[in-house]
Amino acid sequence: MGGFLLAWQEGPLGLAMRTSPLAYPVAETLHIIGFTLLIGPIVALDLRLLGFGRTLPVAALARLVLPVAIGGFALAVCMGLLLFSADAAHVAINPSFRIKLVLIGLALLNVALLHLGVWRDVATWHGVVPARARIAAVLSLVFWLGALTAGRLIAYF
Amino acid sequence: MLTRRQLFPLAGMAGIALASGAAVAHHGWGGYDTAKAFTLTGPIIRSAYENPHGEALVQGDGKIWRLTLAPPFRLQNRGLSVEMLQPGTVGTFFAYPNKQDADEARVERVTIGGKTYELR
Repeated sequence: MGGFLLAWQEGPLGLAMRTSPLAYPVAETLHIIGFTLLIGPIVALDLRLLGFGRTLPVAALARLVLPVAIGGFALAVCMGLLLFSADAAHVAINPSFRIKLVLIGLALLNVALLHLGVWRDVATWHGVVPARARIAAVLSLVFWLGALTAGRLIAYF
Repeated sequence: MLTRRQLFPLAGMAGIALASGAAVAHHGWGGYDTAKAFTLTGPIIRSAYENPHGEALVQGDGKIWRLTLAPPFRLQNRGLSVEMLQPGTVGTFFAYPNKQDADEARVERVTIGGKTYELR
């Protein structure tokens, strides 16, 4: 694994990310915009599931929010891969980075379980959010905000 | 609204976030000992004009220091080109030593060719 990461880091993409004055800050900025578009809308949806803003129908809110969040996630991942290339071998052993990846994995697992579970019947909830969806909303807040925190703290470890 | 069952994980996460922020600041400016600020004059042995941070290996004080500089965009912006950091160039670096690594320091400013360049 270490050899693979070093090869990735020392390859043409890693070299470009390190030496181009613009590539890294541009990728970094788009990475931030990406996870902002992911986390902001998801927090709003989670708060709705936890009982805030009851006049908003859950399914309608989700129809607005989920495509934005998915698009933001895709942007964050693509930019993240570019940033990672610059010093893959160092970042991969950073404890805060590893925690961030675990939290993202848990967040995605949480999404999958919700969407395969009670979310399939969201049109029949009629304003009453099932307990499983509320639990998923709390976990979503913990995992995504935790991942955001861990990502910011990479520079401090 | 939130029940207690729902609130505890949120409070726990907030606690972890705060604690980890206070715990260790290795790499940011907080990981360097400003009380032990020092000035080093010596030749650059090797430099890396690279993201996320530039670096220069400088001979001085009987050893080789690993000096952390700013990202290339900032170096350029502040007037330090890659040519100015070539091996052999003598610079005077005002830096703070890493609290955990005695051979590494973060540069606040550097004087090369009579001009001083702020890096923070």
